[in-house]
Amino acid sequence: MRIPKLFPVLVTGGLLLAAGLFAAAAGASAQPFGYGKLTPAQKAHVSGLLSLELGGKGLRTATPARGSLTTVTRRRVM
Amino acid sequence: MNLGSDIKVNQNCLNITDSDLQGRGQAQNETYVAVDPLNSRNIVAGYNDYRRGDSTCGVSYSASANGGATWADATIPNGFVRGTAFGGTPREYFQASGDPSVAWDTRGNAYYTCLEFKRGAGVTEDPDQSSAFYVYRSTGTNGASWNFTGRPVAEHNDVAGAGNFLLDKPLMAVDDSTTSPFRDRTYVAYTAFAADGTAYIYEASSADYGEHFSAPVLVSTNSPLCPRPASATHPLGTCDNNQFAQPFTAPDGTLYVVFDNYNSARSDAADNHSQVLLARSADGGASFSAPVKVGDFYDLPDCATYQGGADAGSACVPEKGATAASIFRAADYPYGAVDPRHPGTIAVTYGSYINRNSNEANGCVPAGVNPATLQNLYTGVKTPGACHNAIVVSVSSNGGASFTGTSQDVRSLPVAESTAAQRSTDQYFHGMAFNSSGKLIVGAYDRSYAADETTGFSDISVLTSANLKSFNSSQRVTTASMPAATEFAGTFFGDYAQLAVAGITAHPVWSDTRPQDLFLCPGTGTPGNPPQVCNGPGVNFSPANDQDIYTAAVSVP
Repeated sequence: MRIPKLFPVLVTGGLLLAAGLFAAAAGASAQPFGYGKLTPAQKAHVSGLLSLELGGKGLRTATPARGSLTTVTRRRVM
Repeated sequence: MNLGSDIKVNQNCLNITDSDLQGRGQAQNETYVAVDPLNSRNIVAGYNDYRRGDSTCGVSYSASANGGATWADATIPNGFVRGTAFGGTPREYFQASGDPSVAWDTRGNAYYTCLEFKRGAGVTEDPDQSSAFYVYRSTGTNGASWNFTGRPVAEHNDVAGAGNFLLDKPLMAVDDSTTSPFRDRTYVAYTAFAADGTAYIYEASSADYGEHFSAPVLVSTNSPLCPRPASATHPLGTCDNNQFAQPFTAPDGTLYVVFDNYNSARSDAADNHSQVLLARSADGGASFSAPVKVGDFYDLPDCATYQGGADAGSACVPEKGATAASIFRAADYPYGAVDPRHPGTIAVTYGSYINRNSNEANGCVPAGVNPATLQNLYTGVKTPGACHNAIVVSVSSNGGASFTGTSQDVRSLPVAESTAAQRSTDQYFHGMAFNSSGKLIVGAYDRSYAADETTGFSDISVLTSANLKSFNSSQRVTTASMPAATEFAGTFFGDYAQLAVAGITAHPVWSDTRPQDLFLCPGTGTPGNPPQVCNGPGVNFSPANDQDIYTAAVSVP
């Protein structure tokens, strides 16, 4: 099943989805973070997984201060 | 390792991740669970699993005779799928996956639904931003092995990297009624975030045990319940802003899909309520009724406003007081189930920040939305005893034609709060099911213990309602409180949890933050200094913690 062909026909029974919905997939130039193209209303509700993975929040996190790390164990080399 | 009576589900050990990538290679979160209706010893749990770096669809199974006391990990074989829908290449290699759900049919097969996607340029060298849903089936091994390749439910080809369409949040149900005309039919409901600004809910079904799926069917059809469309054109109707769809079935084969909708009428600028809608299908998912209103709800508050700017853009569950430890993204979502003794009775549970015990009377007042994030604002978010999120129950006694919440204010609906402490403290990320005697069982993260409400710690509670009007029992499941999540800079702890009930035993499955995170100690792993591991601070709470999946068997007579 390929959504780009079946989606408008089978879901809407003739209603057209916005022209850019799938057409852009065919030849648009690459853009970083598809999440960035969501509207504010969409961004407010997109899942945490996609928000984290595509929204840029979770790519790198702040580094804890090195001096604040505390040794908890020493692993034995087998 | 187990934590008292809390049983560890995922069996891997913690990887030592570079501190700037904390959570990657480590976390497990966002749980779903299902029990085999033929044999309650067989339990399958799904979760986001970051042990390889990025999230993948993680799975563990318990097939022992001890009711979930021991677990083993399996692997969802999602290394690649067939590339037919992606330009006809032999294979499509997705880079990340998650948003799991699991279910069983009446023949001993387990099913797993997985969202898989590519990251695109900017993160990798590959512009592909395709996304898709796949179903994996476990036949004959009770979750220990799964078919390969995954069977497509919906696939969006964005190999070119337009990045203007996201498939999101698939949840699954299998019709497990042996008398249903649609016995063993598999349903997946999901959201499509499209370039025109819409977020409609769709459903696809399989009548051949998950081998092939139907074309998508629109669930969130046009309705006067949605007078505020979010998109300019809303080509499929005004209910165009939705999320968190869950399908569930009745013994007669009726399919229900319940979902959050954000197009509800609002009385003034301070009003920030949304609504839960439900649509029915009497023909195996081929078509749906117009949506009915299950009830209003008030979503969780804007995180940045109340937590010192943390996790901008998301809602969260702020602890009370001056600290800002609890900053993981969270939202209120609905789950539904049919009373097995009275199939016309349906319970839908969902979170609401305004509820019977948290409202204007005790200082929790809606105050519109943050215009930058569109997340909700309230007076009383950080004030002890004012606002708290609660799991609300709305009931239909006519097969889903209407619900108590259709006409009643959410402030008067029952809440899954049994103790005095629960009536002034937060609940979030809940699961629900009926037990065999028709009691409604709700499991949820719960801040009613010790100082959880002011520290941002959480516990897990399981609550029981015999009459769908009040909850007369609450059991603390966690043997100690869990600190606020710190991985992913404290911003991500999954989006949901679930429980399953077999007979009179509930199996809540949750992500637990009691295990500590570990780092490579400074100055070690250098010539003459063998590597050692240290704990250390998170950006929002110290010491930093891991996220592992846990469960417990809870008697719910």
